[in-house]
Amino acid sequence: MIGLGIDVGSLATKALILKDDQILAWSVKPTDISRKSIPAAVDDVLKRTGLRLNEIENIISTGIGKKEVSYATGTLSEVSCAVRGTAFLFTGVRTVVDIGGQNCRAIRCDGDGGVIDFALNDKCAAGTGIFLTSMAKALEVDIGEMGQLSRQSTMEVNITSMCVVFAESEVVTLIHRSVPKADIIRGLHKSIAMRVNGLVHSIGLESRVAVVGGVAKNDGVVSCLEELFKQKVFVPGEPQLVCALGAAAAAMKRGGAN
Amino acid sequence: MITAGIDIGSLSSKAVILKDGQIFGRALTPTGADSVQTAGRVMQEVLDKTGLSFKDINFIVSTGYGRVLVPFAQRNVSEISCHAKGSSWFFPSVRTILDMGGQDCKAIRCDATGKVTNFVMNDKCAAGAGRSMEVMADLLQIPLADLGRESLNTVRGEQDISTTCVVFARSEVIGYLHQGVPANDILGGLCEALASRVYALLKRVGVEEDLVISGGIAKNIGVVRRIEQKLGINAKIAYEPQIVGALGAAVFAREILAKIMPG
Repeated sequence: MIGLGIDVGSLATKALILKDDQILAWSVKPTDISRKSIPAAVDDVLKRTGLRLNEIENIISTGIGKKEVSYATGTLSEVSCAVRGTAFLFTGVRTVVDIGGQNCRAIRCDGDGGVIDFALNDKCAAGTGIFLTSMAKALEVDIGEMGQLSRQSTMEVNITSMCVVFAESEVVTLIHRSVPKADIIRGLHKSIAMRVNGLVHSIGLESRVAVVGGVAKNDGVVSCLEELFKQKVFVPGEPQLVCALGAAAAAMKRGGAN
Repeated sequence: MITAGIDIGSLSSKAVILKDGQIFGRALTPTGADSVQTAGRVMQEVLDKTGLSFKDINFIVSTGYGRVLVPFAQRNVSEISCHAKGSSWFFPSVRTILDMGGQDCKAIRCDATGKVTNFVMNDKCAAGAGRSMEVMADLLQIPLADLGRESLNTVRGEQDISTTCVVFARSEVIGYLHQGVPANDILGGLCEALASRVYALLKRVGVEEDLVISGGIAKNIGVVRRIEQKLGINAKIAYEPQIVGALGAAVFAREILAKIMPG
């Protein structure tokens, strides 16, 4: 049984193919206004597997642009896909924290792919990936380096502004005051972690915890979350693919029953 | 008696010199990275304009975000108190003040003497502060000073803005521009959104006439008109709304001086 999952996110479009519980291939393309990211990611993942679109029994789309995938045989919510994708990778996870480019979700689940409760922030950019993207720009560092840089921090810096717009000015002021970038970055990681922590506690934190979504690639944020959660968390090797994986797993399960 | 008020704001710094109960001089300059330096610069500017020298000033009060960073001020007073005091100096009938600067928005109630009786403020979210207008002016390539006027000349009516966060609204606006929505219609929606947020803040503190609007936003006629419409009253605006805080500080300086040096 083959399933294709497509996650059309606000910043990146992800496609992943599963066959008999094995990940065959995946692809990530930046989401653009012209919607070319969907065919680009799907063509890429098909090329990697040598499959044709009509050979795939079920295609499930998810993410903010899930309705843009005209040939999908079904759609699933991002919450459901995050939980299913996590359950595919780790057993017994009760809390899934999905930090994407423009939103953040805290989800309580039954450990077996079922959702119990969730809270969503899609109103305020603080506590989402865009917070880090803006700050990386202000600091003139690569977003991928932020986690590693924050480990060189030797001094505690607190970012007092919550708002991304205000925090940007605060960071510029700190740079002018010659505060080391590593310390600023560590402060930013704490700031985003505190916002996410607030969301998680609104639904109640239950062990075991998984952190997924693009921001989970930043181990600095993850370690700040572990401090706040007072426990180790599970992070997949490719955390931004978890929703696409969840969609693919659901597609695979449906088999040929269209 | 000559006193001075210095208001070190998040985006601009202001200085006012008060001589015998009259505004004798005023200056406005962008706040740089170094607030101490900015304070010295804006003070020198106002002295140059009036032909006074530093030793002519009997008492100096500082206010604003950077009020503790003015080394030559004898006293500092909160910007809430200074805005009430300054507004009351311009308009003795004032009972409610809306002050919106670059980084915060305050709704203040005061009594007949300009003393604060209650206030609420937003300094957490840029969507309810003047900065949102700066971001959009930059994006739409329209001078900040023209935004308000342009927003009142919509082509097809106001374009509703569905997101709150400035960061998200920026992407939303880019989307509308791609769809060919006229910039004026987008501005109409943005000013309406800001006015709604301000209105909610004013409701929390309760509005009693007269209402004075101060701070940079008072220069945005698009936001001012929409707030007036929602409240069903006309607002009073000082001829130089950005100096109200500094003026209030100078008035405080005068009052303090009168107390410590009677006659």
